[in-house]
Amino acid sequence: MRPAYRTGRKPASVLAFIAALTAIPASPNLALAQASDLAALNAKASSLDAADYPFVQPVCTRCHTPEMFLHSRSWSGWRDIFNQMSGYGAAASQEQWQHIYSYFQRALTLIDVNHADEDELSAVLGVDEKTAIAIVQRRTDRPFKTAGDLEAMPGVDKAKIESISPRLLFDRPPEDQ
Amino acid sequence: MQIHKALMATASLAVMACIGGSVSAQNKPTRAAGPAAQPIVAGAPTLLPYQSPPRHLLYIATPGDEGADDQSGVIVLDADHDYRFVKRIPYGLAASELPGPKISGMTSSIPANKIYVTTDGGSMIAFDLKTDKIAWTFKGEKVPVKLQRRGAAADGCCERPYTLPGGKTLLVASAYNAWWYLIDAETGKELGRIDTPETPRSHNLAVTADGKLAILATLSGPKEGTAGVAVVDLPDRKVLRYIHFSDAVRPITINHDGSLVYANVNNLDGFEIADTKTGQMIKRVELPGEMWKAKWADPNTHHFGHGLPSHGIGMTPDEGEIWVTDAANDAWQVWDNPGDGRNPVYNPSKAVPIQAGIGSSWISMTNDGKTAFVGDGSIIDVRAHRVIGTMKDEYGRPIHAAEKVLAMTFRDGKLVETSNQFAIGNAEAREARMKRETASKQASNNGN
Repeated sequence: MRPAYRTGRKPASVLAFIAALTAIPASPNLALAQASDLAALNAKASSLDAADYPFVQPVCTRCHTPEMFLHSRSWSGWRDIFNQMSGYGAAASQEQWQHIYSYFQRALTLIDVNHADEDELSAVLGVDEKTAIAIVQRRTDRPFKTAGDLEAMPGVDKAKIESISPRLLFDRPPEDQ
Repeated sequence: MQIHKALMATASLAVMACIGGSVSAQNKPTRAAGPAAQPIVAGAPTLLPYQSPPRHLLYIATPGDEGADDQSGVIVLDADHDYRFVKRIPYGLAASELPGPKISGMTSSIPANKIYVTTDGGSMIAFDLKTDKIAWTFKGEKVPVKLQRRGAAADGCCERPYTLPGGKTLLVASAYNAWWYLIDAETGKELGRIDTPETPRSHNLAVTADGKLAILATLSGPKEGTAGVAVVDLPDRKVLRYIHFSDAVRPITINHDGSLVYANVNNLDGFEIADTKTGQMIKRVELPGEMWKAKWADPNTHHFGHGLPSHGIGMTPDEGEIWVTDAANDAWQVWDNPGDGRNPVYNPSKAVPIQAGIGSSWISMTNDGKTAFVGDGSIIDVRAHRVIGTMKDEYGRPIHAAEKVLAMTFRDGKLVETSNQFAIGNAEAREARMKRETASKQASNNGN
């Protein structure tokens, strides 16, 4: 009986070896690519709020990459996530939690402009308490309908509102994404 | 041949293991791969233990006056989700007894995990918050007592209750009699009583946070020949002094240390302030006369809820504002309360209009002072001085006569924080306000 290789059929072990050899040149590139992805994700997350992110990273990327949280939610949705992660073992000092809250509110929170309280308005829109109170008073008389309505309020930074406009909601409660 | 196959297979496996190892290592996030981050160092500030998320619920005991609001039971609303309806806790009454007697007060105990609802019908009912079932019922005296006013019960029980600091004892007004019960919050057993003969129609009350002083009010005054409030040393259960007001005392509130009591009185759209150390009424604060006196004098416009122009008073926890209901104008009026709290200043720009014709006869606030719940069922943003919602039942009906309201926080089904029926001052909040005001003044002076 002729050996299998003389018939053109290769044994499984040979095929496996050939496959392994072709994978070798790719593996360092694969590792480098994933390290590069993680660096890029951290850079992206940091760009949203460079002051608070150094407190966020050691707590919120211990078990997963920033990709898990680089999306928008309502503030109540984020609080539920924080509690859930705490249950899985995420732990932070009081100072770290304050920075984490600040980061997520400034960078990743959807806000219902016509229902959020003053504290949430201040944190997400970057306005002082007096302006937040004025927003609440204005909306009980006449709800806000557009970012332009909000920009017209004294004390509101137009550039800030423009930068966060995708996270502003005017006619429905925040949907967690 | 067999050896050849084995060698090839082994080499393949070895190569794959190397590749797989390097790939799996990259899946674990490494601090070295990203920007520099602050490590959590041993000996660093304490990490917070895991806590399940809090749940904020509003409990409203109904019915209000004479059952006019067509409600019965304790209605529970979800403060975390736009105050949507959660549950109605019944009193266990037969259909023929509904809606049941008017509710005269409600309080709660954290260690006992209970709420307590007092009724004009002669009882205080304790509900276990884990099961929402009745745990016990206190029924006052075994021998009928003389009735002092309409709504009083022959067994002397009960009017407003108050949970003493620590949560283990309740101080409960007998139904317009000259004594106050001390009740064990866990068992409902009577532990003793405090007699106040010169304020004989026990009604509203407040207790200081340290449990040393109780301000016990009667629903009577000069016309009945009585004082207005008794200032009581609570640990000794002894009356220190009585204070007289210009007319019968109605709702009251106190500042952080009980040194001042602010009281609605009959025939006044406003309030009076008394010093509990001297026993003197020190100031009468009236809404500008043109806003209410003509209406109050006219019998055709004379009828307001509870029979007076202002039945409802409270203060923000930081004592910066006094909130007073104004039935003549269907509004909550606000006085700024600077300094030592003895000279409030009316601020008409902060008035909060409410639903006309219903009457808003009580105010409770959340402990952080951000939200107020008032007697016509309105929910108010305190900082903005605006109505932001209405308390509604499962059918969407507004809950009017919402005078017995508790804002409570639960974790894992256990009560962990509770508000007070009354809106009284808080020492920490007041101190924080004083510091802010001082800093603001200094900054202003430095700017000049």
